[in-house]
Amino acid sequence: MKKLFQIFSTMFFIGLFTVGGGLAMLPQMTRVFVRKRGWVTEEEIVDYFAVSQSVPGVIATNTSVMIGYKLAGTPGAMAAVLGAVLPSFLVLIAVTVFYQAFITNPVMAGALRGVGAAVAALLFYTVWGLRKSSLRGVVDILLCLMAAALVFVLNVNPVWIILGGFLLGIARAIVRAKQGAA
Amino acid sequence: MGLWMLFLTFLKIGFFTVGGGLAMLPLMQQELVSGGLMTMAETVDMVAVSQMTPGPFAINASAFAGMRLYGVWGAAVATLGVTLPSAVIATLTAKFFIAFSKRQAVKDTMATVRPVVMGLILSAALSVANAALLQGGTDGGIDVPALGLAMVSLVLLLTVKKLSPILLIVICGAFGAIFLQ
Repeated sequence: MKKLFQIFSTMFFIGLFTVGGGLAMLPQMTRVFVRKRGWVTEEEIVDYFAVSQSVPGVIATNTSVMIGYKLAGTPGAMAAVLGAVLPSFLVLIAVTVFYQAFITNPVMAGALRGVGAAVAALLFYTVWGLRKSSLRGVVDILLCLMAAALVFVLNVNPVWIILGGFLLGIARAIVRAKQGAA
Repeated sequence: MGLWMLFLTFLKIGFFTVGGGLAMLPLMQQELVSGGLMTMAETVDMVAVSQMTPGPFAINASAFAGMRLYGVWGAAVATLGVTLPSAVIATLTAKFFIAFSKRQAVKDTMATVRPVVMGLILSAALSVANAALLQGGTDGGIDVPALGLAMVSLVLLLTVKKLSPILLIVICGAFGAIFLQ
């Protein structure tokens, strides 16, 4: 029960402070679940993001569910998704009532300029912070740069990039298994 | 159209979204506008509000649409509808994936997938930096104070090991509200 509440409250705070899409949840997730509590490894969290992107549904919700499930089974998944969704729901109920004033408010616009700067820095730092677990060697770095270029420069849908990554991964795994058997 | 239809509409949106976030926007606009629930202009406001508020874009947009149409119950129903497919599919996926993740073949496969995910994060970083910093100025050019703030944030993240991402977001947001309006 205590663990379920910890999952819920952690996801609630992540949901409350995530601006800029599902991937922006990664830094806080790794900080709490990997470094602070040691419940999962960095590799596992990155894997959940990969799988989450390639199945239907909201990525942030999918990832929350997968981590919650890993930590405490189906109840953990429910606690995580409730925590991730509740802040959005509460904030939007409040904001929608006076949203015209909200989108034209200069203080809000200023705050968002500041938050945008923080999110950009956080995303760059996330790649750097995860380099030891997820970028092992030159081939990995090239794969990373290629994926980034395809999405950012050529506007390819990230879903195709992830699926391509899985196909390439399966091919490499098969080759490795054959080499191991020979 | 009642709450039940609203639920089914958002269930459909949640189910047919792959890639999350803005990927679901065309389908959402189509359902809402062609169903006569919202005008195109309202959906533009929906996008603006959803991007300005914390939390996943898809959830925010659903809560906004539900709230506009049927108040708090509408928001609850739309949010539940868009979340439910994720919750069910991801639970089954987690069950399956975690069961097989110890196998060597899966480990080898994921070792190749991880750098690709890093590439997606890098691309997200470049997109945010491009939109918020390089084209975020009042004249559509470089937003110099915001770029400076991002640089300082990055240095802080690299040097202060225990710096919480949430704390950084709060500090930068407060700084922006005071000095960047």
